[in-house]
Amino acid sequence: MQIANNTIQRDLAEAFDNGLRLRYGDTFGPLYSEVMHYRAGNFLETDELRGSLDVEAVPVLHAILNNKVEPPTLLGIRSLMIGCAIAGDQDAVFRWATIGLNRARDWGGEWTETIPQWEAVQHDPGHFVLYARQLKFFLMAI
Amino acid sequence: MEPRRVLVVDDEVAFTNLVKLNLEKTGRFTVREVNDPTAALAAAREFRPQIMLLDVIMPGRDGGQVLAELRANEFTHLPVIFVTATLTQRGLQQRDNEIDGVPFVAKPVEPKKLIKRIEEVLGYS
Repeated sequence: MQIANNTIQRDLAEAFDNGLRLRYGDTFGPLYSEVMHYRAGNFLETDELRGSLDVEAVPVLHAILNNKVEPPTLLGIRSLMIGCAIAGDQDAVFRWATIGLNRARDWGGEWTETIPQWEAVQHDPGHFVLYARQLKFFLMAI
Repeated sequence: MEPRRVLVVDDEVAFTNLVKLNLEKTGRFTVREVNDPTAALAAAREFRPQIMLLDVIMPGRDGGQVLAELRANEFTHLPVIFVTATLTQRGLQQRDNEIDGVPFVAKPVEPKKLIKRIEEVLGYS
């Protein structure tokens, strides 16, 4: 029964994920998909989330201050932007989008594809926060 | 004692204004504000700071890029305190206000704590 449940959960998650990408296109679709998978299955209590974001930020800040921002750090920046959105911290979302945009441009390669995403979040961080929180809380409610 | 020269590089004008106001009223510091990170090197060359407060996240160029530029030029040993709003006060205190030996202060900054931190880094507290 457990296996069946897991299979059903996986199927539903995949359908939901694909639906988000279809509905929200290349800019917000991938971002909402990452919101969906961010610490999936955990109840995100704000204090606990804030504490884990502090921990998560340390290696990212270390890389930034040493001016060594490579793809793992870019992934960290993206994860922090998403975590801060779920925590409802619009200013922090804007800051992470700003640095993500700068560094994605610098790094180039496949990260160039993410530029419209950073720009969209930077342009309207409130929109991203609202959608991320709605999505995450909806997923946690079911 | 001659006032110490503090260069503050942060895109938030309100923040640099507050730092200037609070530091200069002690009579122990002279502050130069830089709100455009691309202008930091030129300002440092003109002002010859003894310490720099540097925001981590700014549009156009982040704190790591600004510091790399200064270090690649004549400011190889300029003491730096990073300023960040990306960590909570509590999170930073748990790390003794440092990340890998680099001094940090978290925004919002209490003026007294900032002055204490600057004096610690300058080595005269």
